[in-house]
Amino acid sequence: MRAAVEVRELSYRYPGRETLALDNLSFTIGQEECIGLLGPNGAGKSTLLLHLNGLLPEHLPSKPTIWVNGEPLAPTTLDKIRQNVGLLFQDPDDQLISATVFEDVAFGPGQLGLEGPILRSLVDHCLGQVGLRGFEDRQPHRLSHGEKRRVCLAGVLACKPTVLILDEPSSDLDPRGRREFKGLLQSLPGAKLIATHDLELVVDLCSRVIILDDGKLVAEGPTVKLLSDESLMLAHGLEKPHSLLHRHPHGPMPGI
Amino acid sequence: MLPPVTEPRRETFLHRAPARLKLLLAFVLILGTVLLPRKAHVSYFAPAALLLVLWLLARMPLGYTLRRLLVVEWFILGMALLTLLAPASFPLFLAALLKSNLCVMAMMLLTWTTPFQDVLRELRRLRLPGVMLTTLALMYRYLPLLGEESRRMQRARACRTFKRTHLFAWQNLAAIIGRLFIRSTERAERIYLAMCARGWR
Repeated sequence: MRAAVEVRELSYRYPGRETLALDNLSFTIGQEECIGLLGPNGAGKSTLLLHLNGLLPEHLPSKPTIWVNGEPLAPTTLDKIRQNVGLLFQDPDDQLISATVFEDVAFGPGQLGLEGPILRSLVDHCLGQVGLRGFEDRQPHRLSHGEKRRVCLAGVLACKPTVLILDEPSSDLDPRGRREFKGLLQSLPGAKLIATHDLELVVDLCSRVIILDDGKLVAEGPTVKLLSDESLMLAHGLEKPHSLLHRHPHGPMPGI
Repeated sequence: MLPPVTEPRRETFLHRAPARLKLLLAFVLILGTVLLPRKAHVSYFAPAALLLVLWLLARMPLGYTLRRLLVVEWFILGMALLTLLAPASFPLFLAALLKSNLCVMAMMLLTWTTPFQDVLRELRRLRLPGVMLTTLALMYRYLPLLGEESRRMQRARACRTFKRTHLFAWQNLAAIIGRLFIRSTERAERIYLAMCARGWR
């Protein structure tokens, strides 16, 4: 079975910088696989996410380094890949650009040429998926942080992506909002890559993790095994999650 | 900074009237006012009287009206003062002052009685250029956010401000405006990326 995302020898340097933001990264994400992307601040996590959606580099190289569902990321496939890879930004206010919730969720499908009753039913379906049916006429700036994040997710789902890329999805959420959002992510099909500092969320959702540091992929493997390795975690600005503190690496997953 | 809208909207027949009709009426009123003679003239009473009637019908509170007018009055005054640079220009100054206030009043009545998204929808139906509509929509979406951000910065500064001189207050304000500008630029870049991620071209 072909991988949902395949990254091969990806390197990137921001213009005017001397050091590499991403240094020779290679990894794959399987279909229906949920992967945690970990690392300290400035490790290159957000830069990698922007690459997976084709937002970076500014000019795509002639030799592809990213494949989505077997298709290389190139100028000719950019639109299709952006539709297939749904990117949820860290700050919902960066993503919610329209005057009403309906218009915002309809933004992506509108770019794809959808309109009329088909568009309305798609928006209704996506708002239903995130539990916000009836919010169509609400103004984004009057929503709570958790609601904003769910509207953002509905906007991403409306493009019918096969891969979900999430940048710090649980940041700024209160415990109830975090729990609800976690349940929502669990219920969604497709491959997922979650960049986060919320290690408990990774333990609950992800079967595998990738650790980045200084733009390099320093570790990759099963979640519990890697996150239980205290020396590895400390060496890369991370901490062993509380739920794994007194747990054997080969024991059952917490919460299962 | 715009004062927060705290006045509850009263439901009048003007609120229920079609947005397109109100938009057209506002456009005609503004155009008619702009075309009035460039000196204080009895014809100014016509749009003023019409606006007064509409203001009463819309049941816009006086305090709210004056507060909103005060926000833009400084810009109007600044612009009208420029006309005084020309010789024998006092009538022109008065005309600029009157025309601007009447036009602002027409816009205030439109926004009081019509939700902004309805105005945008009508403008879209009237086939206004997409870039213009996007700019308007983004402005409407991000203005409260910028307001909230500037309030947060003011609070953060205020809690570490121990001397209160006018000069310091102005320095403070300048620093906040500068910081807000930088933050807005950075946010604009992130918004653009988020739009591109959903197929914007």
